[in-house]
Amino acid sequence: MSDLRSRLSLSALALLAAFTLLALVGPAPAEAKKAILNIAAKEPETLDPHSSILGQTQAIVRFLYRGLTRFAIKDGKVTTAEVEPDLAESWTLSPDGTLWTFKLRKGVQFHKGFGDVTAEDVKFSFERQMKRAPGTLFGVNLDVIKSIEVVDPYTVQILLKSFDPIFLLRMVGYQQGYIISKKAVDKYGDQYKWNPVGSGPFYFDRHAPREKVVLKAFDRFVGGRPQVDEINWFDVPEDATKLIGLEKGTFDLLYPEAVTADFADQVKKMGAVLDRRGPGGQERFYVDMTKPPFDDVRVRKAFMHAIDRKAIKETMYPGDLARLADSCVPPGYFGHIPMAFPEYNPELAKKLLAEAGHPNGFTIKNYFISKSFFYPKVLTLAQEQLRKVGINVEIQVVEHATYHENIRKNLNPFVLYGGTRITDADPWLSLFLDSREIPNPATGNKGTNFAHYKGIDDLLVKGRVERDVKKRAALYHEAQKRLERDLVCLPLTDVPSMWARNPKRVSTPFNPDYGEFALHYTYNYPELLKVLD
Amino acid sequence: MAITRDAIAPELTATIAREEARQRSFGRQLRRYGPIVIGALMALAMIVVAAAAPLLAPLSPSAQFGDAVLKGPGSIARHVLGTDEFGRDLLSRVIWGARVSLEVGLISVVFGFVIGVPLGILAGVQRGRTETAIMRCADMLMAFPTLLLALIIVAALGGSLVNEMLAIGVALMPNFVRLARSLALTIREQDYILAARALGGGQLRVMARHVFPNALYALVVVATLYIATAIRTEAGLSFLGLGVPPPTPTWGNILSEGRQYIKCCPWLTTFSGLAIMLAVLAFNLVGDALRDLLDPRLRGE
Repeated sequence: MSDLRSRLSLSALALLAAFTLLALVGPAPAEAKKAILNIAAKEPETLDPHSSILGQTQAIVRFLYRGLTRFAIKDGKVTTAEVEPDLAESWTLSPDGTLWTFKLRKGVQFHKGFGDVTAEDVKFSFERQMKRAPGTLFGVNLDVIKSIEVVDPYTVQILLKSFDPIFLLRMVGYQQGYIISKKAVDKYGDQYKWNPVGSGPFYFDRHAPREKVVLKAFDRFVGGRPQVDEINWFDVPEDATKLIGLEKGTFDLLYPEAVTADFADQVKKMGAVLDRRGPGGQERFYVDMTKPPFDDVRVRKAFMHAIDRKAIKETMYPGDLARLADSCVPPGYFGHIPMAFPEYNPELAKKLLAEAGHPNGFTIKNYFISKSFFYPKVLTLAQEQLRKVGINVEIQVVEHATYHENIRKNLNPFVLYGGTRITDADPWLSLFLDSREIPNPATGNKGTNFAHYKGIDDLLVKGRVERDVKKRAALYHEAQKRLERDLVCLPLTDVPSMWARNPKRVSTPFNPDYGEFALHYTYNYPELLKVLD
Repeated sequence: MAITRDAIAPELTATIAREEARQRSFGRQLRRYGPIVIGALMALAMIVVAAAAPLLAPLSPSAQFGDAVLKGPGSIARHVLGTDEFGRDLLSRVIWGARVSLEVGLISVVFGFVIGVPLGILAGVQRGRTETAIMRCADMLMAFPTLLLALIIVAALGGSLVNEMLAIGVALMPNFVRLARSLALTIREQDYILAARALGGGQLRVMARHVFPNALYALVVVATLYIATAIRTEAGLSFLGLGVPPPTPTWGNILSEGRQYIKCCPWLTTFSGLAIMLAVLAFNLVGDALRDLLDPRLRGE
């Protein structure tokens, strides 16, 4: 008996000693050094940067790809108004303003041994979008280009149809501006979307569907190897789960669905910070002016009188979490002027509906709404407001990707949309209100002119060639006045892009409050993120 | 002479014994009828709440109060149980939610009953190939758990109140088929069935007039139990976002929406969860008690 006990205690002692020894030695040195960043976001549906406007995809591709230019860092802040060299080391513009010559930086490598970034890749990256290769979405942003010439492997000439005041902004590593490897696309074809090859600070390692995407530091990144060795980009569907993970240390960075007051409170309580990035996205409605009964301007006006924009803003984003939007071109974009919109007035809305022949209102069946981000929340608020004036909206909640498909099939008579674009009225209005961007399932046009608006095409054409800054601005002011008259867009809120960060685990060199302007819902310089011990 | 109680007051002893017996039997009565009374009262309360929702709910279930977003119970007098993310009154939503739960619970069970019972009786009485065909189909449906089967059907048809009832009804149906068949198998061997046949009763007449009424008790008991299952399944579907689309309040979708706020605002999940629990408990109590009362083997236990 005592013999057994002593043997037991002896072995327990031995075990304890073994554990102590292990603890002293610690984990293997290689493990200890590895800086891993855990991000809770959503799963991207592709890693081809030219073929997705989903927020999570635009956020992750910035880790993988670069463009010819990048947003400049000025006084420790990242702007979206000025650019500096990135893949291009210098450029010149011909006196007539149509021929750009870019000199590429030598020795910039693509991931996974796909060789140097050459003029051929630049030409390919833009031309596939201009030719509207299946799936690509941003060709309209490159419509100003007439032709692209490869002069030598490190010199590329881009001939424009006419002068373009914002051409260098178009060349920024964002949406249409990303340079991808021609060789990789040739090799992988349709499979490229999960075999992405760029020249950014991280390369794609693997994809575990519905779980995570793993990125690894690119040793030969032109800006130097990032401090973070590995990134786990987790697919986490809900903000509540993300918050618990942030508190427990499972996640270091959160890409939230929507930063509402309770989310901000919880982040603050756990000692984490919200990184606010301007200019953020605008949440707004486009009303399809070709779809009855909204083809009647009185019904559109009634719709706008019925929506209480202030209540939506204050319920979703009280205080300084967002600003009440004041124009169909968001503030901070070149050409913005404040616009007037029909005031909240349900009585007047009812009257207008009656005048238009809908004294008892009407019902919209099968209205699709995404179950992600701000969409279901804002729509629930609007639904109740519309119900009060007799417009009944029967909702069907669908996956985010399905929502994006359905609104491009013109299934919703008015479309809730949020997002950011290059901070200039031209790309913004060209994407959302140019008649060439009217979505049409018959022709496969997947544009985003959900209003089916054709009223400012002439101004956009003029604006694209105007070299005088003031005159150019005046054209966009005029465009906003027409929008005020035609009542096809109702902006609700301007919301900064916000990520929650555990400051004890991750640092960014930029100020949490608008220290960075980023168009892609994330850090403009992901290579500068550092994992702390 | 030893003085015993009996000797002094035999009447008293008898009274005491009678009283003890009465109490014993009262206890037995209470044990026997307590659950059914409690369950029935709860179920009745729920039916009243659902029927009188417009009168009982203090506010509209979809009215949004921008000044009262995610407020706790009692922090604003107007909102007794607090508010949700849109400033909607939780008490009103839970009250209106009873409607959907009860509608789905009752109608889907009736649906399953009306389709399932005749098929089961037919299988039990007819036997042969008919029975094989019906029972194998029922077995196929039985292979799926109720929630999963309902989920598949709703996913295919799209979420709406009617589709939800249909889906749950179909999912519950095989249970009724099996039970009705097994009852019919016993009943068809009874002498009175033989008598009915001897008197020239046709197959249909025998089934409808003799087999069905004799199986009815047991079927009703089981149906009551399945109301609880149906309510639970409805809440499950709503929770998964496949139920009645918003803004119609259901206990399941209040619970599901509240889950996002479980850390800051637990009242959303607490009260909707309690409602589901009480409703399921009520019908389970009634169903269990009915079974005990009507089951001859358990009678007098």
